[in-house]
Amino acid sequence: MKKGESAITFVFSLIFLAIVITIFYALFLLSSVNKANFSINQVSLSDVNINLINYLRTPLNTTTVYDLMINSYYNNDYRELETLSENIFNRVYDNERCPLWNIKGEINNEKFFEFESKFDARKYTLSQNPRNFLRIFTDDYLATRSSSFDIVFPDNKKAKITLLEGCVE
Amino acid sequence: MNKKAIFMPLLSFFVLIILTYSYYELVVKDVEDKSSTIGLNQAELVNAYNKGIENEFNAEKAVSHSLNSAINEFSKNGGVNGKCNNLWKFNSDCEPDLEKNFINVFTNELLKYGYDAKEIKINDNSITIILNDFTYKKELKNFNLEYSLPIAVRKELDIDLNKLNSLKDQVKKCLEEGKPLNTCTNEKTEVQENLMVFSIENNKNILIYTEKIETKKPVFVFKINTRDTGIKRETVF
Repeated sequence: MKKGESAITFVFSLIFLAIVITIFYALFLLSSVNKANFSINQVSLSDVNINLINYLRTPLNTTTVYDLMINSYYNNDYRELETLSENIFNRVYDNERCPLWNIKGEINNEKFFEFESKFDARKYTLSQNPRNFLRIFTDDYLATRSSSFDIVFPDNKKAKITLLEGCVE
Repeated sequence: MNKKAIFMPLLSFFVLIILTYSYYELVVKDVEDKSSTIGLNQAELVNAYNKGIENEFNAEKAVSHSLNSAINEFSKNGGVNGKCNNLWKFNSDCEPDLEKNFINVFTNELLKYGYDAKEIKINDNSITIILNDFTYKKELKNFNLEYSLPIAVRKELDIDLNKLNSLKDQVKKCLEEGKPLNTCTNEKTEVQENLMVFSIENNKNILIYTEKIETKKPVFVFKINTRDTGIKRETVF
């Protein structure tokens, strides 16, 4: 190999090395930030559980939301439950910070009601993938968390209530 | 080949391999396991508490539903075993031991929901149910969690057991004294051959769930065979 060629190889190798080190530095940096976010999500799940149980226990004259849910199911009329759920969750979740909530009831794996906030998904990035770099180009993205609760229903039916919330992070 | 010329490309190549392997080991492989160790124990504590609350909530609701079903069943059977066909007969298997019989019916209803009671007491028309403790155990690395929550539920009964007990005492006294049964109580009675039939309407509504919700005041119906009351005294009828 000539002296000139050897110098060119050295320079190109040096440039290549610099590029490789820079790319990996960026990759390590971004992935370490995402890991910290994940741990915070774990602890905050408890808030969703508490919101769900408090919703079921919300008193209504002499009964509770839970009793209204049963009445709605047996009478096949969910209007009152829907109005009430909207009133409760729109107060619990500030529309600016947590614009998405969804409450769903299932009996024997069949949905019997589902209500959710008036939510414009186009305003947010819903991706939860911690290594999704595209999210750095959007202003807000929603972190969604959900909690399910198997509840006792008359006649020992298998009922499950799920609450999902989406808050801006 | 010139040794100096080959050094730099080889170094770049090795650095690329080392960094790729490091990235795989530190970031890609088992990323969730590594990150979840932060705050996992604390999250588990909260989880145990939440499970306890859920169990307490469900136990309370299971008791309510079971009480409604038990009141309906108990009234239908006239406060005695279903095999007695509503017939009260003192000092026999058809003895109207109302509290005991109600607790038996209620225990069976509660078992349908998967709850086993440690102790059930009826006092002044209130029922107190002490269920088996809720327990939650979790073994994590360097962290063992054991959570126990006693569950007790107290409810007013939607059936007037005091009134029924008082009626039972009146009937028993009447039979012991040999008086005609229809003169001893103010309750609605009907005579069917040698049977005296009592019908007592409940003062409170209960909810019965079948295909639809039924709100009803169950009627407590029992019969006494005036020729075979189980009480050793000739009755005058």
